[in-house]
Amino acid sequence: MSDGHLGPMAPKEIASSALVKGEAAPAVRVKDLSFSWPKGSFRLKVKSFEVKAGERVFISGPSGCGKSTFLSLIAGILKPNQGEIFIDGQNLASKSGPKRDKFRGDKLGFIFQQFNLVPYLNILENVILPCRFSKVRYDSATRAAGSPAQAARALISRLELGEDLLDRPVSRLSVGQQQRVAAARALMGRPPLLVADEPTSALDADLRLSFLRLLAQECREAGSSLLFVSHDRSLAGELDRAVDFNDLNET
Amino acid sequence: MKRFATLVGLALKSAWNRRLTLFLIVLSVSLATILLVGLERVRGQVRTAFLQAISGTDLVVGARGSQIQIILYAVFHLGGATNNMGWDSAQKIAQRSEVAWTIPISMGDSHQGYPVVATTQDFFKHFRYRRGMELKLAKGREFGDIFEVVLGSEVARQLNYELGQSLVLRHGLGTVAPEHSDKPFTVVGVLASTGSPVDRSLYINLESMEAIHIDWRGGAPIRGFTISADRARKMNLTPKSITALLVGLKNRRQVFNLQRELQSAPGEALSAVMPGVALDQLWRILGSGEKVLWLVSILVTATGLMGLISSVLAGLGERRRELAILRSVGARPFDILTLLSLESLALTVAGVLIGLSILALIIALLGPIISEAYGLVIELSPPTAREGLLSLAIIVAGYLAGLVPAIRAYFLSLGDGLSLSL
Repeated sequence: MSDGHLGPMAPKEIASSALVKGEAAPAVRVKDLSFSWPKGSFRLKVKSFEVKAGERVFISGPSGCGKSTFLSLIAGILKPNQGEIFIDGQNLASKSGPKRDKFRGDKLGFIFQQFNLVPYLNILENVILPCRFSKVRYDSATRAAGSPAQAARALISRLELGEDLLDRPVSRLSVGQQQRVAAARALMGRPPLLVADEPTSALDADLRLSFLRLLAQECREAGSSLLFVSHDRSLAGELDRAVDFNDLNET
Repeated sequence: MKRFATLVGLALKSAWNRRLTLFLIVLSVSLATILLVGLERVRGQVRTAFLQAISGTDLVVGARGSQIQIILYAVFHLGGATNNMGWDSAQKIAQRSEVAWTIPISMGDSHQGYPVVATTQDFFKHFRYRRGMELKLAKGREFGDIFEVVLGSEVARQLNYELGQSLVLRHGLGTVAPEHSDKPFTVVGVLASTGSPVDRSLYINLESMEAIHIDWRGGAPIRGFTISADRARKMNLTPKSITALLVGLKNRRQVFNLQRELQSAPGEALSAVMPGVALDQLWRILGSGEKVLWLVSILVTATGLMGLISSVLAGLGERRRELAILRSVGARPFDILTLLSLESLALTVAGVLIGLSILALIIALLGPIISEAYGLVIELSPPTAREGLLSLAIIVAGYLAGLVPAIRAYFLSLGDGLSLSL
């Protein structure tokens, strides 16, 4: 069923919007990045990596290879020892801690492996959460749908979560539903980049593909780039490009 | 501002979500509040009752002696005077131009352990307690004739005496001293409750005191010599001495002058005491007991706050994920700190408010009983400034205690970042 949504019309839109932007900054551009934990022996070195605006990239690699550290650097949680990380045209590596936090709230949507939701908020409140910390996302959602709540409702229904779930405590959702709520939250206010860190690994095999397709489709719809990290290579073909993390990391 | 409102909302929802766990923390803060503020309320009332045991009296005059001792027997009717002052001295003071009124007091006898105060009808007319409150009779009338007695409210209640009751006074304050059994008294009046030492005494006139001792010498009946009550009635019953004299002035500013004059005047050696000053001194001695109570309640409060710290700290482990989620949507580590300390603040505020409500309920229910049983007036009233300050202090302490887990969460979220280490 989701195949129907991935019709041939959508790529055209992306292509045209990329054209309109012309020299639109890439969603991610990493140059000569190096990072090592203060005490540990672990080192990360990425010479060059780029995700174009609107591009959806699959990154694969075994666990413990440094994917999470790489994502923390892109998210601005960690600061690199050397190199540059441009997100939507701005260099994260030169920003202070609180600025990186604000930047993350404005520009990035996250989906984690599991337990993505704040337990004491209902579904609607969870989805709106980014708008509470970022004015940029708030304004964007308001422009798109009239209000963040409206935007959240729209996203929830697009992600095939019934209206009747809206007020339900998140603890009573299935894992698949939880991940879709997390996707809706990440997409709120159409951030330039979505980062999904093993979002399907807690799902049953038959749900993984449909979740990935739904996510990819909604990213295209929102015009957001997607960085999808998974150790499950069988999904790699679903996105615009697939990268093996071991090829990225030069240590 | 908007972000702060968001954090407040999150803190409240988070706390509500874990309300069963947090209930006990709130309860312990409530208990601490009840104890601290309740103690302050009782302390304040005890202090007021003590310092206002006598009011409107400018000087208490007695034979030369310690200020505090004079106050103890003249105001609290405790213990006995080692020396009496002459009736003629008292008369001279009463006749001075700056003196508005005097109340002579003579003590030394008791009934069932309650002190007997011999005085005049001026006592009913001029005696004031607690900011100028007058004495009122609950039943009957003032004493008139000799061998008539008026009871303080507590005496009447405890001994279950009614008007018309006949009773015998005991010489001295003990329970083994001989009784004046040949000259019984009749209860003619009962004073209304005052919450002051007045409630715990019996009142007779000076002549009665003279009459019951007319056939006594040196603290014992004269062997083989008795004068009947009827014969005593007809004799000269003007007292030769009294224990103390309460003096009211026409103009309070003359109190220092009069005090100096009385103490340095030739003739009988007298002490004149300003009751307010002496009561303050006395309270400073007696009040040290309250410090122990304070210490205990502060320890209870500290224990409650320790509970708060440890519960919030223990819950932190389970909440690391939640904090990472908040970080992922743009929350700064400082926001995490704010979130956690707001939670402790909310818990403490809830605890204090619940504690104050329970205290109000306790006062409403038990206040009348305490007032009845101990003469201590504890009324339902809005918190005093000190009580408000105390409540605020608990809240501030709770907030500061909450900073311990909050700072821990701050560093956790700095270290954890978005990695949800599963």
